[in-house]
Amino acid sequence: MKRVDAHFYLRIVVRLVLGFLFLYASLDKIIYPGKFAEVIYNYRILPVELLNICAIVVPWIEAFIGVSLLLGIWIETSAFMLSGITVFFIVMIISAIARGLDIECGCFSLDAEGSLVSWKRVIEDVFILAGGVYLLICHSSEKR
Amino acid sequence: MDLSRRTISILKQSVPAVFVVSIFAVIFNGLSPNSVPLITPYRIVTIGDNLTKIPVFQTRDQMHTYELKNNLHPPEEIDLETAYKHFRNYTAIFIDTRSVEDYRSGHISRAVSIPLEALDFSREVLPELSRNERIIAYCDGEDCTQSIDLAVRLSEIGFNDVYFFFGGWTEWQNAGYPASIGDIP
Repeated sequence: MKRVDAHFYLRIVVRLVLGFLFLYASLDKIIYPGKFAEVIYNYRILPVELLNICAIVVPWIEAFIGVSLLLGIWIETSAFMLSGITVFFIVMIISAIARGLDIECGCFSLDAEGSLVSWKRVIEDVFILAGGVYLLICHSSEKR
Repeated sequence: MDLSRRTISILKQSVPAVFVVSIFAVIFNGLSPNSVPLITPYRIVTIGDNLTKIPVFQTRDQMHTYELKNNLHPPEEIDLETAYKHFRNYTAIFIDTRSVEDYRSGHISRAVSIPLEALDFSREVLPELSRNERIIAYCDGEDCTQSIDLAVRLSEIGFNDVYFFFGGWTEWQNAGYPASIGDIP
């Protein structure tokens, strides 16, 4: 009888939850790149000229990660990209908090009533990052 | 050793993936009804002694609609005394770009509340106003930029005599100039 890995079910749950989260987070931004560019602008980090191209590309990277994780393909690559992009989000949010910016996070939706940058958002992202790193470690050790 | 080999291997997969996804994203943007230019267009606005780039967030369709107006005079900064002179002479409309709650708790008398996020390009903005009306946008004070953002956007949709009062509500209040509390008069 095949021995089931202790992490087998946890890995599936983490993969599906993260996949759903990333796909969901990308939809609004893909449909309204202009609005997402405004959200990025409010962070005052990127040069003005690059706002639109980031608003066009980043949501599709999120969607790619989401679809890959949901379908269970390219998991290692997706987990790596997820971890990288989440670290970037965490740095953006912490820098906004440090500068006292009271701006929309743009994390999951572009709704004007959406959540503002806060430590709660940082903690959420740390959990997402932990999930990404967990998937990365599991799949990397499996391939060794 | 093994770890670095794995990292390089994952990177080798990730970089082409990001590249392909980026190409796809750009193509999709080109076909989308809400497509935006790849390089963000901007207006240069003078704030004090500095030139600041203010991005223009419009879809391609909106830019096409307003492109004939691109030679309009860009918005300029206005100081407290000039703003007050216009207030006293009834020669400008003041627009409060802060949140409705901030507006209710105190604003420049006769100012109209248009929070920046409420400005929607898909609808006619300020239909009752002539595009030649002098407009002075303001927000809290020097820490905020909504007044500049709104002034730039109004100029993009055809208003050609737009100013931003950078000192904003804080400077106006400190000067003891006329202020009101509550909703739109």
